[in-house]
Amino acid sequence: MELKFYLISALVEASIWALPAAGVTLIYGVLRYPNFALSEYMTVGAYLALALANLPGITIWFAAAAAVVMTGILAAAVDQAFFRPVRQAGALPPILLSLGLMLVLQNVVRFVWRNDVRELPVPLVEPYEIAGFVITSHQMATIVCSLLALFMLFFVLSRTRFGKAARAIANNPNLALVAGVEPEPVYFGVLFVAGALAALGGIFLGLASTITPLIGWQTLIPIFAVAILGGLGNVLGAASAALVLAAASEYSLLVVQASYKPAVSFVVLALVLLVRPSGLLRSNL
Amino acid sequence: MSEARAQRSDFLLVEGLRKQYGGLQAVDDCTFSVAAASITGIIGPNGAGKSTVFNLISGIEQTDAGRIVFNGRQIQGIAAHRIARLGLVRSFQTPRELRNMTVLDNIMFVPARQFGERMVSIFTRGHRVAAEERVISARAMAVLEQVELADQALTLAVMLSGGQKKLLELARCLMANPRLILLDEPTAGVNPRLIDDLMGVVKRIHAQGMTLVIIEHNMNVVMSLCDHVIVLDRGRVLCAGTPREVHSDPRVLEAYLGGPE
Amino acid sequence: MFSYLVAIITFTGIYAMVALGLNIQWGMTGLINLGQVAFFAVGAYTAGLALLAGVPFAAAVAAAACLAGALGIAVALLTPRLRELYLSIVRLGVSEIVRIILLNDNWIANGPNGIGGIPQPLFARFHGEYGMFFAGLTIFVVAILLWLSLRLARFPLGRIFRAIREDEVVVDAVGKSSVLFKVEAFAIGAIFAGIGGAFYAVYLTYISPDMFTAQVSVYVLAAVLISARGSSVGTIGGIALVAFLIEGTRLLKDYITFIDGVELAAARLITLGAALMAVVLVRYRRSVELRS
Repeated sequence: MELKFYLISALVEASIWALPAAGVTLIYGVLRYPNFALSEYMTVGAYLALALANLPGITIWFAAAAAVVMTGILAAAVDQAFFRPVRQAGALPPILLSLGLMLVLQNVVRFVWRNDVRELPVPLVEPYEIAGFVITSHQMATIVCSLLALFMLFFVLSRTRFGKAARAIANNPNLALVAGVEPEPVYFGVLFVAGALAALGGIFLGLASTITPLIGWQTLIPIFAVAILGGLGNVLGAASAALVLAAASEYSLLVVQASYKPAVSFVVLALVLLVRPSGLLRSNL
Repeated sequence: MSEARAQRSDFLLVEGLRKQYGGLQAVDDCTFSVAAASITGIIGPNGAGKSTVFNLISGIEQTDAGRIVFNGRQIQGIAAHRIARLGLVRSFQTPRELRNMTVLDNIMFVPARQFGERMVSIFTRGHRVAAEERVISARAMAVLEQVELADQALTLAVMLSGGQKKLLELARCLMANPRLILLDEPTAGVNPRLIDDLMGVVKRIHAQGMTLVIIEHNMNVVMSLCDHVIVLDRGRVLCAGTPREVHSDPRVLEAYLGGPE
Repeated sequence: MFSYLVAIITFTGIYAMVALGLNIQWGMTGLINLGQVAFFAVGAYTAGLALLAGVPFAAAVAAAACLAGALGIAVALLTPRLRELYLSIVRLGVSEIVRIILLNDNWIANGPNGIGGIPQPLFARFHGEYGMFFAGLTIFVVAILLWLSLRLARFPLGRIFRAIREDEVVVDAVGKSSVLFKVEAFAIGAIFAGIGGAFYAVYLTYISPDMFTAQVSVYVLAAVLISARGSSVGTIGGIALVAFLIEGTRLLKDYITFIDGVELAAARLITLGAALMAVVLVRYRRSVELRS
């Protein structure tokens, strides 16, 4: 009975983690650096949704959608403004920039909304039972929407021109340039998608628990663990790794106390990396 | 007696070397030997696996199969820095100078077992380190004289010309007091005027008893410098012999002009 | 006001120890380390617990240094095979794990409550003037660590560290184990941070896990970044700047009445983050232009 309970929460957690992790892995694959600020876009997305939803006449669905789009645009704009000037300078400058950005984003949120714990204005729901599993409609929505988002991402990456350009740059940037791919529009798109995915993940996280300025920060290590485990640059890998790590994280509750949970995904990652330094799946988009 | 002679002609022995990258067999059952105090040239068309062989010998990459014996000792699978300590050093095709350090520093960090490299030395009064530094810098200047870079001693390595960086590569090898030097395309990208100087330096080093293995594309250099030449093509040894023998071997010409793709 | 200045100087000194350590790892040897706070935390807890157990101050600091150094060696040894970018993430992760462990461990570290009542050395002698005394002691130790850093930079060992920063393959190619020296550099940096941690514990007399978040690593990163390539003195300047941004603007609280504490704290960190980004842009934009 307990095992089934953990399964649902593992699925929810995997759904939440997979989205920003996909964003991280996308940015790493195409732009070749780990963007530590992406988890803060989760926070920004959640708060934007919160602010919009509290306005009269705005439904939670619209607020969420708007927040996702706005965060995506913000991420792309920030990238164009601050990261573009140092594109040619290697991986270190964007890493450092993302660290500074992390501080800025989190504290702007804190400045505007303060440290209080908040919740999305959604009605409380009763859990219901399906096939022996106990689940709420919120959890259902999270899992389903996340799957939808991931499918859409796959579709975009494999069928659209943008997706193909992104993959070309990820596989061989020089060749892509020679073949006539314009990198900056692709980067814009990648950041938009990553920021949007992160915002969506943040909203679901806020739905599942509460909203504080720290929710992104607390998810930083797990989403990077997921991204690395799945092979940086590998979106499918990220999705699978999210399942693995979320399951490990939830089921670890059987063995260790709850407050160690954030460490579990990292420990699993460390163990895997000791054996296979390049992650579980091969790195490619 | 014959064992010593065997060692002399097999100072470096490469046997059945293999290395694969993905689907590409870069080195394929490569076998050759290098005699002590010789200058051996390795030639072959682009992509023949020459630099890869150097990488395998020097331990920067691991072999998939095969044996490498240096001075009677098996070195395949041994870490790169240990191989260097055994007296086998190499220069790099694209110079790897320590860019933001002076030419002198580029050479002075080389000698092994410096007292000043140990943490404890920081806590000493510094006399021993200073004395050691004086000895090392004197030796370094001598090496730089040998490669005619002495006047650039205090220049930052990044400011050197391409040819000078090649000389620096050579100087770094010399400073390590090696028994065998692998030179990877020492004249590539070097000003033609400087090539004669380079060759002079190599001849002088060789005259002092050094064993050299040189990858080269410049046939003049190979013909005038080497006493033995090995031709690689598609990862394996095509033929070997004196420069004259190899030069007139029709297979070599065919390999360079490219067979059917 | 004066005592506040003394406090800032002490904080700056403590952070300077940590930053000097990072400078040896990153500035001199080129090892990315986003998790320096881990060694800071280990040093603080080790010293705090030792002092509470009655160990004399010098021995407690030594213990802090040793444990931090040991952790540094472990982290450096466990990660040599990883690619550089993974490395940076892993080291960040390690520091967070350390904090989480400290947060949860109720047996030794007393969990989220932290440990308090840490005795301060020679308190009886100075008590009225303790702030000044401790500031002086901190500056003294910072001076020693600075002297060691400068010495290291000039000695052959520092030359090897710099060589590793430039090209570790070359270091191996001449017969020196780059792995060995990297571990050494990392451990030395960890020891410096551990000593800083010890002083932190003593200064505050109370430490808890939330004082050692990864953001502290970002602060010292900013400091090293501000300095020129591996300059120890520059690092001190950098950390002074950072300390001013973090702590000094607290002073402004008296003058800025239209926003309150939480907002002011947030504003300070926004400024720090923005400053870090600005420094990165200025520094690396130049290198991009130079290249083209």
